[in-house]
Amino acid sequence: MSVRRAVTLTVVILAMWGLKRHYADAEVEDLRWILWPTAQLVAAATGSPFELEPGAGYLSRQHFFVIEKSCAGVNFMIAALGLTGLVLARDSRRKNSERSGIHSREASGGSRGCAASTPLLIDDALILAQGLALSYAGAVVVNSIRILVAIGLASADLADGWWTAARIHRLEGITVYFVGLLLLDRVVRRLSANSRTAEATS
Amino acid sequence: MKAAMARAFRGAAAPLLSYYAISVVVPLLNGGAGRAAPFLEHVCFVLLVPPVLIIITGLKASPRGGPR
Repeated sequence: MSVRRAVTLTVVILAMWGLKRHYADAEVEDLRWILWPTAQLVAAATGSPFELEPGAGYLSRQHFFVIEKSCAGVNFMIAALGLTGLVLARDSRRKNSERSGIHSREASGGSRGCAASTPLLIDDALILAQGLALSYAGAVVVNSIRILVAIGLASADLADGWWTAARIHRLEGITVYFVGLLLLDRVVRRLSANSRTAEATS
Repeated sequence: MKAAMARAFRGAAAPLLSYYAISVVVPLLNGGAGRAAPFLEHVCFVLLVPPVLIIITGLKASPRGGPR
């Protein structure tokens, strides 16, 4: 692993750790930045309002469902941040080596050489900003889908024998979150490939 | 089919790694193992469900990956 990639990954891991620390100490009110948009999306999809119950979370009286702290999707966001950080750091290294290849060809061809790659700090800040934006949007959307499916499953009353409501909820959560991470991985790779293509053609 | 499975697992390596890290490794480091039975059940679900999903994806992709 190059020093550059190690620095990028360290920055991403520190951001993940910071997010985890914030989540561990946060009250429901401190998590409005992620709970509110999630509740709004779920409310728009179900057509019933979710209201903030201080200390509890966003409550739907119609569905008798609370989006509480443990439902905030922060752990998904942390996993998504790690994932996007990994993919973007790898692609940024590729991009820089492609760029430095172009520059060295230009320099040997007589044209004036220039800096081979984006300065490290700017590159890392960009990766972190893109990673945070993508993981936040991903967490809100995927968590809203998970909650919508959970509401549907709860009203379907599928619990039977060993398959308790809690186990069904856990299975559904893991499935939606993991599929969400797989899709986010595809989206990040696609965005990264598009930006590389755009840069190569410009 | 073996190649399609290998491709599916290779393609899902980064999501799988990040998911396991957050769902198993971090709770273990935070002392989640202290609540033995519920945590063990959680770990079993987390370790088993994603590979099953990847296998399903691989099985779906395998006819397309075969000779044409």
